[in-house]
Amino acid sequence: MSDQVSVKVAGPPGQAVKRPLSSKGTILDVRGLHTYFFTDLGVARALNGVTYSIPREKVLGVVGESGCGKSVTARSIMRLIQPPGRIVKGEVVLHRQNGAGSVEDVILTDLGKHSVEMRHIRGAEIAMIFQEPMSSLNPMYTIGAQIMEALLLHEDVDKAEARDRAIIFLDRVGMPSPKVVVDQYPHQISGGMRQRAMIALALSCAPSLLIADEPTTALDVTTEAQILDLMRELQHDIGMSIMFITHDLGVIAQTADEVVIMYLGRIAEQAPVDPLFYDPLHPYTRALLHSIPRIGRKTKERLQPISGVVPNPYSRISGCPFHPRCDSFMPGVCDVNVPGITYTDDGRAVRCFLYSDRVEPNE
Amino acid sequence: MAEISDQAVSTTVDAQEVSDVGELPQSKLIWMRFRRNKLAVIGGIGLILMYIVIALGPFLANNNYMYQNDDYIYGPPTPITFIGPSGKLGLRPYTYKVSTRLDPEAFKFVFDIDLDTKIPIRFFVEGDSYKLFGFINGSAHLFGVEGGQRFYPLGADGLGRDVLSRLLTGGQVSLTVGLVGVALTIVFGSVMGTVSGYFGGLADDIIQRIVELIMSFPTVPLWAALAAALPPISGDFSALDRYFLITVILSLVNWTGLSRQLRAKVMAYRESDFVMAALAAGAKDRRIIFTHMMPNAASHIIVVAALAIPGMILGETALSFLGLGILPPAVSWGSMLTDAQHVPVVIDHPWLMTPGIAVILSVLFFSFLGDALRDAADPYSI
Amino acid sequence: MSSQKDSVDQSENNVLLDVQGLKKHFPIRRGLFKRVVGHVKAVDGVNFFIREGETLGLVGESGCGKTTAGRTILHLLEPTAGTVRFKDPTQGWVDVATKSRQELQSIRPNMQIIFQDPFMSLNPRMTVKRIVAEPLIINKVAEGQDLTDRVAEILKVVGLRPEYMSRYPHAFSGGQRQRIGIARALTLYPKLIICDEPVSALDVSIQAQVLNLLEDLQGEFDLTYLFIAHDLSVVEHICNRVAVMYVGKLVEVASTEELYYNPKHPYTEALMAAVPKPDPRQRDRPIKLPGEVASPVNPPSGCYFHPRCRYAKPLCSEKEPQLREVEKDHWVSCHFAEELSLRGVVAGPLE
Repeated sequence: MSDQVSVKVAGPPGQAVKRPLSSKGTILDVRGLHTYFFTDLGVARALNGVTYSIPREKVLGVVGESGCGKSVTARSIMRLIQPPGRIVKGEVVLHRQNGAGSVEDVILTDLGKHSVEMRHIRGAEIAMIFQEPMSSLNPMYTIGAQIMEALLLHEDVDKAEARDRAIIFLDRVGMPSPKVVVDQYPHQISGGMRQRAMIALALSCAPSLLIADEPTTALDVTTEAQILDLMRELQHDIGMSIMFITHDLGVIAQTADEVVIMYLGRIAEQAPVDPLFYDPLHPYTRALLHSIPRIGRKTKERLQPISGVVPNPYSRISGCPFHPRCDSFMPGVCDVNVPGITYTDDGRAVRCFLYSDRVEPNE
Repeated sequence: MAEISDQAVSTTVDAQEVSDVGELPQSKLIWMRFRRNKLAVIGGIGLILMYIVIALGPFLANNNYMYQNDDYIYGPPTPITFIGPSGKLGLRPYTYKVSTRLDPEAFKFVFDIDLDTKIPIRFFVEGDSYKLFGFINGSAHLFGVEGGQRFYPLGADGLGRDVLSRLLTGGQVSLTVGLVGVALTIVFGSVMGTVSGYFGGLADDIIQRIVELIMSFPTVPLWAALAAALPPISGDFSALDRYFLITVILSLVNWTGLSRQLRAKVMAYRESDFVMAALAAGAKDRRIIFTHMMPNAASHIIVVAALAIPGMILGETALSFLGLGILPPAVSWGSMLTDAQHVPVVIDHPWLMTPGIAVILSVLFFSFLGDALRDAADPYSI
Repeated sequence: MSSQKDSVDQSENNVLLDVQGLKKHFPIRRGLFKRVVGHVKAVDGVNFFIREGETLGLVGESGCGKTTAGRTILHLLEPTAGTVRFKDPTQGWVDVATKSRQELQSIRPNMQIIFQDPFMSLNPRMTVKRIVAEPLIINKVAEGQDLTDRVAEILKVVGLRPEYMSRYPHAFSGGQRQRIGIARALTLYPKLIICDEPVSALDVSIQAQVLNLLEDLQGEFDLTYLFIAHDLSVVEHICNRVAVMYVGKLVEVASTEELYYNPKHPYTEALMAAVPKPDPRQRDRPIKLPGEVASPVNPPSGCYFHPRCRYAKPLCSEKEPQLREVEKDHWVSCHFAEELSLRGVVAGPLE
């Protein structure tokens, strides 16, 4: 367990950092995170200066398309980045609440990837669930055995008690016939049930933060609705913070309290969910919202796609990464410098020269 | 057409977006990845050198591989020194005059080295005549000693034959048996595996049962039995014929492994969308197999082949060691190792083990190559 | 089957495809001698028709059989039963289901398919030119410079630069690969294209590009689409009519507007309610569908949907409902379709 360390306030020089509004504070801060992958084809800057906060007891949605870095962010927080990737710069700070009511700051990026403290944090404090439950659950062990493994590792219980708790958790996540499922193998149950098992596994050690990486993408829409309901209900009951990563704007609108939009390794915009959909600031957010087909739109208008393609992560784009596709592109401005983060008065953040002249300092 | 063209222009992809690496076919990409593997480079260079050396065998070795020198039975490697007769260190290598006498008490041949008489080793010396590559006549050798004495860099065996010369000539057999055998394996294994995997049903069942039958035989006894059944070397059945039949026997068992693996791959590819697309366009089975399946399986076949060669080399070595493979007057590393069976002999004459080192090196190099190929081919294969 | 209202009067001269009683069962084999112990009834009696120039959506969740149906219609999978009548431009009405591979050779150019997975649908060892030209080569339509020209032409049509034809698929992004797949399907100017989840694997911002492209191509080349998808928002946008499948059977077929705003089958109603809307002010979900999708190996008795249906009555577990026309051009497979008053999609302020 690391000692209490002072919190280093990072952010654009010369401006006090304004964090998004949240009555209970922030559970996790990501500041200026750079995660690069050094491969034969070049250096892929998966995260190129990412700064955001996860509010306590709320759902933060992280939205972006392929290559934006949303999964890499989650893995960087969990210190699960494997070579040839590594965190090059920046920090991740977990604001751990102790029983006494005080808050201790743990700088996760300073801990060793394989250290005891980090391993304790993974699972007991921050849990993660993934997109493909078939590949995240071990096919050789029963569902019960996997939940029990986590419990036996992090809590002071014996096998019998762990099994009882496992059954309770399975029931809590709405698993049909939990006493039967606890002894079944992953391949014997359906996709939706596997995802429930994953959630039960993640919750078994009562983490304060749950990172969900595209948890419903592989599920049918009716099963997805069930799982989303479950997650919202659990979050409400347990008071857990959730970082919900997805590319589906519909799911975000239904689930998130606050949203972060990512593009090519940087945050484009962060806002509470209602203003994001009803008053988007960043041109990328606007373009994204205009390009999706919406159910319930009776008039058949032509979709408005975003021109161009998402650039590959090895490319080096000068200035704002979105400028080649932006319809508000300002020549001489957007293609020269990277816009810095602008904080608005109502707690939103956006990186765009339309809103300020702030420039990101060069690397 | 106007509307489409406008649409096309507005959504046309910018040239920079497409990565440069797309110009290269997969085989090129695999080669690039392969080259970066250090062990592969060592293995590759090592093998190239070995093949060059054995091809030039008769030119490099001083003596004809069959020549039996009664004066040099179990003779040790001829010592080499760089110190000239004047006592100064120089560039020219010298050897000593060696004479043989029989020690009456130990009843062994003893080789006296006359340290005072130094004989220079020259290059391009006339010696035994040979036929290089089977058709170039020559009698000059890369290095040698003038005058009566013969030069044995690796010593001589129980019949006074030059070990180096036999090593190089034997290498011609040992290192090519693997290649020929693997070629047969590839052809037979691919055909069987593809037919089995693509058509399924009864053909698949029959072929798989045959494969299982062959695989359940113990390999070395099977080889031994088949080899023992070959006719002796005579006017009708030359050593070369025997050599080819040995390679056939070796690949007879090996093709089963490749066919199974290929069957699995073909069964997987059969379900892929691009094969469906070809079917939807009206392609016939033959086209699908040769145009779609085989090229994708090619990298896999090459890897399996490369990794099978060491097995073939060891197989031939084992057979010849047992006296069932290559028979005299032909020579291979395995048959040379027959002489190295007895421990007392080997203790007194360790140079007889050099064929073993040659086998180890060649198997290692092929293994490096095969492993590197497999690693290079993997990321892209489906 | 033929006496039902859903079979098409073939004198309707604008029908292009008429599927009747289509079944595709996969045998389950167990044991040493591979005895057949059961069947996966992936497609279990499907009837619908598609008119020329229209886009029929085929939706449903995993295991409903929509992908299998698409491939069986093209006879890429051998149908277990049923007829697939296709109005070939030269040969007239042909039953694709019963034709041999030899006979299909001449019909195939008119029925093509686009796949979901942009990575597996293109042979990684072939250049783009080879991939797109393959239908032309197989059918001996063009060669040499003529071939190259045609490939260049079709690449331009789908929005790719012709210079790219010498490159390999791994150079391209997902959306670009889908365009290559579309180009390949177009080279022989087919009448019918089965679109098997063509945008599901693409990024959101690229989906719109490809959907627009498909719409433009439909107008330009007089194409008819069978659009298989699971994303109901996409389907509403691009389809004229929609068919809903559940565990191998059709439960409802209607025009898009009718299906979405006036559904008559409880499953359709639940599907519409489950779609996550991109509008944070529309978070209520009045209909929550319990349970799991039924298994095509061992489906429930009677109506397959009855265990999960909130309106189920005893009859539903006893008798299987048939697909029948309850209103003009609106077919439902439910015993109580006339009595139920179901909730369709409600448009919100953002729509």
